Amino acid sequence: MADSQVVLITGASQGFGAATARELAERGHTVIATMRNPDRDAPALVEGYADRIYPQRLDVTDADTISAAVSTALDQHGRIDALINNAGVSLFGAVEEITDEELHHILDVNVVGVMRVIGAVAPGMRARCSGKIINVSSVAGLIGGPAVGGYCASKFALEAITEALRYELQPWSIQVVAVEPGVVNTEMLHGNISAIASVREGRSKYQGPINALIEGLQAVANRRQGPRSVASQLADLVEIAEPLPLRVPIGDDAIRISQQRDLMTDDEWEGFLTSLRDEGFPGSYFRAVEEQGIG
Amino acid sequence: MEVAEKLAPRVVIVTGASRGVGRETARELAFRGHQVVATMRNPDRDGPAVVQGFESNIQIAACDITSRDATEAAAAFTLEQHGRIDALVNNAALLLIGAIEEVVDHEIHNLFNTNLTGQMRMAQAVLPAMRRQQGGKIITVSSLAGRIAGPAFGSYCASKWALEGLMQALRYELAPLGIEVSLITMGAYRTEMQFKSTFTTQKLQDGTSAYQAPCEAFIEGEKVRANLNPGVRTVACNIADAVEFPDPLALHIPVGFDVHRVMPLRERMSYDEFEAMISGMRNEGFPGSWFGTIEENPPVPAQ
Repeated sequence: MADSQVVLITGASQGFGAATARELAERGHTVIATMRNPDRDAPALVEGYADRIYPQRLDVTDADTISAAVSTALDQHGRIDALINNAGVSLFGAVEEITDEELHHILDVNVVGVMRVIGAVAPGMRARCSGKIINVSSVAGLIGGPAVGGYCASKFALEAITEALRYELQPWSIQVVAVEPGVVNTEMLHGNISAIASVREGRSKYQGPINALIEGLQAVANRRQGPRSVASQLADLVEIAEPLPLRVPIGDDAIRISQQRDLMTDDEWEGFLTSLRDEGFPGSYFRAVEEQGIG
Repeated sequence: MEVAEKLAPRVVIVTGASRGVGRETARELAFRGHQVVATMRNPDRDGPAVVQGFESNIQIAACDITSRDATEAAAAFTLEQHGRIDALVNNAALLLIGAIEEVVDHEIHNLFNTNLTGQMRMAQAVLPAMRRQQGGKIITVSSLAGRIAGPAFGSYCASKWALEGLMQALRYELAPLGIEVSLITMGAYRTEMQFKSTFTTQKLQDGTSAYQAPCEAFIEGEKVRANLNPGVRTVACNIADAVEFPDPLALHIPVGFDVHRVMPLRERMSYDEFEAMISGMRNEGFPGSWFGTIEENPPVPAQ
């Protein structure tokens, strides 16, 4: 039975982060649940687990909030056994129309943000010669596709960082792993969809296909499971005392996609992906291009 | 809960629900708002802990899947209570540890009567209803041992491989009827199964096996390994997801980090390469404990 662990998780206000924080608490672990706005989001999160979930303000784009949250956590709990880098943003929009600021922002959150938090947490793990760093990537870190190029760029970069870190931190027995969830029914695909300005303002040359893709993905997400399985699997990764693999795809779609991609050549894969016309990614996009034309 | 609010509740039979994956799956499905008929051999002893807290979502039915009358009664009970059967989670299974050389007929018959024939009986029992409904899901809990084999539990591997063959065939047979068949490939999790001493051959129990030391090392190693791994919540979540998914299910649903590690290797390596890798392993549990023990205590020729 896994001993009680101290886990710091980012982006714990909603989605995977909130579900994972509660799952870990349910299993008896201590969770430092970080988020940008604890006043607003923490009360719902800690309900029923006030003795195990410790909310902290942390914005991954703000180094001061990171060092403050990490030192508070170390003061209170003495160590951080596992870090779950979960905070992330999405971005819909054609590569041609992404502005510098838009790309910088998503990289600042999804890539540099992760590195900042690791920079603050890794010294303590090295000092104790143990620890786990679990990076929440995405299927979009394994394959690229239309209308999500900026998001894919950030998640591909996160995959590269995960792989490099594995080698760098191995001498201190710190394990680093990336998880790749597929489409899960979370807030990321609902409410305020994060899209580039040209799409938000309805003036994109790719407007029709991108709208179709967003709607298709939302329809798929609506029919699919919530974050419980992802949360349970993330909690497993915290608890497993055996060596972890580099990548863990999560969900039937992610498992299928990663397996197929690995077995196909680039040409075969591109032919397969381009042929898809079913609702969701990327079928909704290609179907709209076919039916409506583009530009 | 967010899912339960959106999905119509499903009626699900879970076999072997007294403990382990079965119990956790029954409770996860109930938590998500579905109606569960949880079957087990001894409801008086094991039922209350399964139902507790989910009294309006879990009903217990006595069912020993080695009896055709019992499987049919469980299906009939479910139809009587809920009018339909949306999914069957075929989970009940036995383990058998012991060298193949020493497994006796009734041991392997018992094993297959539960792990293979029992699963088939239960599937057959729900099929008339699923045919009428023109839909349903049969989700069978298998194991990495259904995809690879190794020393010390060969007969268990045989039962799971046989189950793979049966369910793969059933998938083709039922596809035109809109009934889906899927197999959970479960990896390393901590369940009660690894800790039950009754799942061994008589020879091992008597201490007279020619493979006593490597089999005992295997059993001890698996216990150590079980304690390095989490409980079965994720398996239950994945099964519940599969029950809920509106999209076509894959034949295999791998659950567990070790499955993701081993299966790509198995699929990409030649058999010779794979065998050399397995034989070279010296980890605790399967398969290293066995090979390590043999290495330290080479067998002596029988007199």
